[in-house]
Amino acid sequence: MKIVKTSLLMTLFSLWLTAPQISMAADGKTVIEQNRCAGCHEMNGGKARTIAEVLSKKAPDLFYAGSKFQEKFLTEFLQRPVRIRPAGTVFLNYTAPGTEIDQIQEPPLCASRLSGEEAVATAQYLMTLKDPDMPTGLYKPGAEFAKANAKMIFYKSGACNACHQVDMGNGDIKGGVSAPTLYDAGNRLNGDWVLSYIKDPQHWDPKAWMPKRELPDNTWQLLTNFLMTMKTSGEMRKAEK
Amino acid sequence: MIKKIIILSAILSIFMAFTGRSTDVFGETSGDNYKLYCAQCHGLKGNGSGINKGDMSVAPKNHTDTIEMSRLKDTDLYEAIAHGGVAVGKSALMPPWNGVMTDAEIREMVAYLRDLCHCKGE
Repeated sequence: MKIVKTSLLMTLFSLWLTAPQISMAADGKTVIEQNRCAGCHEMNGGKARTIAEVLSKKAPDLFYAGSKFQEKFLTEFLQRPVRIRPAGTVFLNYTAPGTEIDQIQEPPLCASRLSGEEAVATAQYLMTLKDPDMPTGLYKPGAEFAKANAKMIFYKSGACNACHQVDMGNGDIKGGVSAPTLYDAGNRLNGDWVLSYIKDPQHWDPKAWMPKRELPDNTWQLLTNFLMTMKTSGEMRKAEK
Repeated sequence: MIKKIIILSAILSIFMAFTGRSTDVFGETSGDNYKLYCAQCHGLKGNGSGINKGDMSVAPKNHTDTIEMSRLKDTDLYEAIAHGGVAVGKSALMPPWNGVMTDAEIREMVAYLRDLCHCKGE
């Protein structure tokens, strides 16, 4: 009888401990509903499978936000959104033909301006939206890697900077603008998701305008490690300019 | 006579469905594929002025340049699209698209490039 009582008390105690987190996540869901985030973001797993569907996208998919992002980044972004995609979510929607170079026509920024408390709750909720099939634990933060090799693949054979902006040193941002910035990838993204995405972008986004390449697993690991070292924040860029 | 016309139309429709450049047989038209995958570097009009051009060390190919494009064989274009610029001795800035577009879509794209340049290959 005493054992039953004790385990009952322990169960109640653990429920009490986790209750605030459950409640925060639930509040985050309410914030998302009240702010009508689903008006722009896909929240329910509907992937764009045709170009017409891609063009109708107003903002990035969030139904796997918990697999993709870091919670700290989400908490900050939801209060003070920054531009991650220089030409908008879908570059075709904000680009006009040009003679020397096509012109980007001021894509809108995420409208989220949550309070600190709301942002914490919403980020917690978003972190519960995971792809259960994504392999985890493959990216080892802080692991040593051949950075020179990674740079060679990233800049030369892969030419990833053709479409993505990177920090060339001291906040000097250079690169293509049709895809998300990478100079802050290490602060924004989850390493395991980066590894999964660069191996097979079309698994996550069937009409992603990023090439899918066949490379050995250790090359993907190398690139992921390199990408996760990219931690130039918006403030660091401003300070340089 | 009417029967003959109907049979001829049916044959023509089937033929168009399998060879037509701007049909949706392969899911997307070559023009739409060009916009989504190629225009980011080669420009919406195909004139090499895509939004990514600014910081590139090698300018993207101008697909509307009749003289330049006439020098390339269809097999060169196919190889460059499918396996990237390096496969034809050009820049690695041009990535391989064979993991994204089907073989049929790449062949359609070669034909689309010929439309853009108003030219044939050597």
